[in-house]
Amino acid sequence: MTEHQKHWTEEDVESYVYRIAFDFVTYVSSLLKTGSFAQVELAQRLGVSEGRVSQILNSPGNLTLKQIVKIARALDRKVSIVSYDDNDPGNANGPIASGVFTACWEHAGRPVDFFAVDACFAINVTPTNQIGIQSIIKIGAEGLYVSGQALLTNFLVMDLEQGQSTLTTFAKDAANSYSRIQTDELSARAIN
Amino acid sequence: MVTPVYEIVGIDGLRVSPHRGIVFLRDSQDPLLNASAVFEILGKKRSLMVRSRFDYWIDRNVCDDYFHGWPGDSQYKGCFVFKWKHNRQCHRLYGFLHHPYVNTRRAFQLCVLCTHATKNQWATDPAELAGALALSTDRLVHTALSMKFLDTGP
Repeated sequence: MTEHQKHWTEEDVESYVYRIAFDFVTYVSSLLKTGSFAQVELAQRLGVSEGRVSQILNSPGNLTLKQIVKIARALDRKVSIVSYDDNDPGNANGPIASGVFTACWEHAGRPVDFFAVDACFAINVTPTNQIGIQSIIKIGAEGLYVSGQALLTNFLVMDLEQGQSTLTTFAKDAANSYSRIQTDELSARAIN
Repeated sequence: MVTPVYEIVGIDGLRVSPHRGIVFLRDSQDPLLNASAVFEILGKKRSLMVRSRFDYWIDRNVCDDYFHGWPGDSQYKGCFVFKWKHNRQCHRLYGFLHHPYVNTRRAFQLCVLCTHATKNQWATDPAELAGALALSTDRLVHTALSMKFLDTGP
């Protein structure tokens, strides 16, 4: 196998469209399969028969952008078109699966705008006193989460853009086991 | 009895991933090893569907409707299948999972597809799995694989 061949989606636009629409119908199918939505409910919301829903899901290559939006909204979901540069101008690797973008977005705390994006990525928080603790730290758009024995109260807050760091102490909550700090506050502390 | 001449055939345009790959096992004298031949004559739409499912597995997605192994089955845990439906008929490509780079890239996983079968039911025919299992331990198959995937350091 050569390392520099072109991915099969490079053959024609039809192939590329099929591949990215395949991701979408697979996501929809997974929602139907896991019971999040019944196929009959989706059919009712779309105003079509169940058979037509199956037909649509089995023919991703024929999906239009309008249909994709209709289906997403019928499932109470949203859809975005993402264009990106993955350093693969010749398309040797094919498109990155939409689920990868979703996973990254969810991992980043589901930021909804660039304020939230900045809050997620401009700050790196490192615990400085980990005395016998199994703690999980998650920084999201909603704030900073600390779980475990809540002995983690001191954090080295780094502003990656400024290259500065500050030792900051956060208060524990009443239960002494869970702490939440608003990201805005965290950001302000880091920058100030 | 004719000695089989196994050939490992790559799939044009499939992504080369550092983690997973898919190939066909072929023997020009053995019509039962027909996975490659069937794949090559798929119509455009079906070909796009199967390739998308290949991509999906390579990307480490999970979807039992498209492909699966039998990790809970002590006998057939190394077997693997890709599936699709067409005209109310179930199509399957059976094969086995293999680690060709045990010395240099142990984590790399290869799916070696061997046979194609059609069914009117979704259940698996154990004979297909037994065939894939036999090939997975065949010395000549291993030789063909090691010639295609050189497991040597830089």
